[in-house]
Amino acid sequence: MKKIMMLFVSVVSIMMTGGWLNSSHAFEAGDIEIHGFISQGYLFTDKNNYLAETEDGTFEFNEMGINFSADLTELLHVGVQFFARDLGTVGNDDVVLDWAYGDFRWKDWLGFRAGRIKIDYGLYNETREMDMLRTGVMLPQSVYSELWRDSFSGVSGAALYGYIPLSVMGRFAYNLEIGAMTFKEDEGFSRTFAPRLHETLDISGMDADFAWFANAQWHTPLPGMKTKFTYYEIENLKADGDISVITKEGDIINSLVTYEFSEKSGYVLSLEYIWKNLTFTAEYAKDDYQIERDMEAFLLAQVATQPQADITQSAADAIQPAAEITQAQEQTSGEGLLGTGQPKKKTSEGWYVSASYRFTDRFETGLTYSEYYPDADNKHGEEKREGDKFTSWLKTTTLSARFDINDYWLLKLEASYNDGFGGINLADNPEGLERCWYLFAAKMTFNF
Amino acid sequence: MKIRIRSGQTAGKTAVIFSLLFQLIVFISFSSAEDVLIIANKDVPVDSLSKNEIRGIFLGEKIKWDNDSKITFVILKTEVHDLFLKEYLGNTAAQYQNYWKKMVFTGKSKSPKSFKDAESLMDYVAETGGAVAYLPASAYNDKVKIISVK
Repeated sequence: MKKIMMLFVSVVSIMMTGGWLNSSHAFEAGDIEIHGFISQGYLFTDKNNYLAETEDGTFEFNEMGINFSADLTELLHVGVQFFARDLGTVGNDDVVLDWAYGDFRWKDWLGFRAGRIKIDYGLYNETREMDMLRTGVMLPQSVYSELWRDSFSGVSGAALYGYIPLSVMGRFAYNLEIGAMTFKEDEGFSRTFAPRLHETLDISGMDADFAWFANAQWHTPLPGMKTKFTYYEIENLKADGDISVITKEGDIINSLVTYEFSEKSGYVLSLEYIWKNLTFTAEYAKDDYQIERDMEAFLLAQVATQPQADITQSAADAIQPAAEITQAQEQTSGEGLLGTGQPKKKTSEGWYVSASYRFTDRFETGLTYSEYYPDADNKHGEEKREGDKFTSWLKTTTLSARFDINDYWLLKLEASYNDGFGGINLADNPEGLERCWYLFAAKMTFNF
Repeated sequence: MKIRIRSGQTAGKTAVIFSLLFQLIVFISFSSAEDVLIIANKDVPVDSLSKNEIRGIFLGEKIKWDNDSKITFVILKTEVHDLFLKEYLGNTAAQYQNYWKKMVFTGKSKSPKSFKDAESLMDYVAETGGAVAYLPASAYNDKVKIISVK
């Protein structure tokens, strides 16, 4: 990690001292334009570990990226961005391909992109890696969960997009993306889903056939106001892993299972209004998922139909191949084996409102209020124990300050008051949680 | 009677002051708008553009002229930049810079070419087919053509 950072800083220093940055702050090598950024942050919570070991304060919070782009012809633009980040146990500054695609702009109203493309979701998902493009340090977690970030970063596929002027009705833009998402067993998306599927589930792999995202954006006739709608579906999402269940007789059965999703979809409604130096933003997001079968009930039902010897064997061997489970599941579909039907569809919901104001060329502040419910049908923790009810919501009020030191450097300071711990990985807090807690964040960013 | 005369004189003076103030405001407003000229390479196939079209061009949404040739827009980083953005895009310089950083860091475009003086910008526009830009009216010369705003 240190080597990567030193290399990056060295390259940037050489470029700056050599005067190779042009007036628009890019480095140009022939027809290739180069831009980059590097940021180092600090996180501290007074209670609860959040995304990292923040109760003791952590510097494991950084991002860096460098991109190269060129116009190959009048209509064909190509580019690539390499990116690395660290946030607690996630990222560890491993360099990944953030985006790399060709963009053929045939008409104003129709363009094609192919390659690895940033996912267009809500107002800020495309730019969430670039700290310098927003007022705050953390994006509102109600719509842009940090835990989903890696999987929602990009798709390997293609996109159609375009801009259509609507005369007195403003302007319309669309963007349709389709491709394969990346799910890693040790990243946030998998880790977030595991406890929702089964409290003992240890995910060994997650995959989907493909995903598609549809975006419609309308710049209204009122200057500065735009609305956006995003809808997405992930097709044939599956999660493989290992769960433990306890039979009526008290035997513990471990088994490899495959959770198949019959639905994984969601949408975001966005509104942005810019008036002079004031930016007002509001977004609402809803996500649904439906799994085919409650695997615990299925396993227990399957065990109940087996002879005693087999149950003992299952308990002793503790393993059944996932393929066998899914095959058995298919054979018993429809009526469901011994009453193991399809579980209820789960919905998560979140929204936020935010206002930021730029007082001078160099100073900006922002205030955001956000609410998130990982289970929208259980917003007040009705199904949880008294002491755990607050894990059913997360209500956050955030005050941010941004100082643009010059065109390249910026510093941000942020304080958040949080009520609840909904939608956050509980594994970082084995010693228990407090309902109300503060998060303080500081971040310094260099970009060119 | 005297009072009425005084009152009438006061009213007249007030009207004159208001009139002068109004003319001053109108003059300032118009001179601000007229300070920014939209210019283009002489082979550009249009002589006028709407504000919406200008906005589309400088946001990278409109990329072709009516004859399908490519639009190349350039920006002038002087005081006129702020005036242009306010008048035609409704943005501040910081907002406009942020917009283009978003485009650049998501791979959608290269950053717009910019100049620090009007003379260099005019030379570039004069030599580049399909180029369009803006500059202060005082800096204009006939190497380029003026685009009127509908």
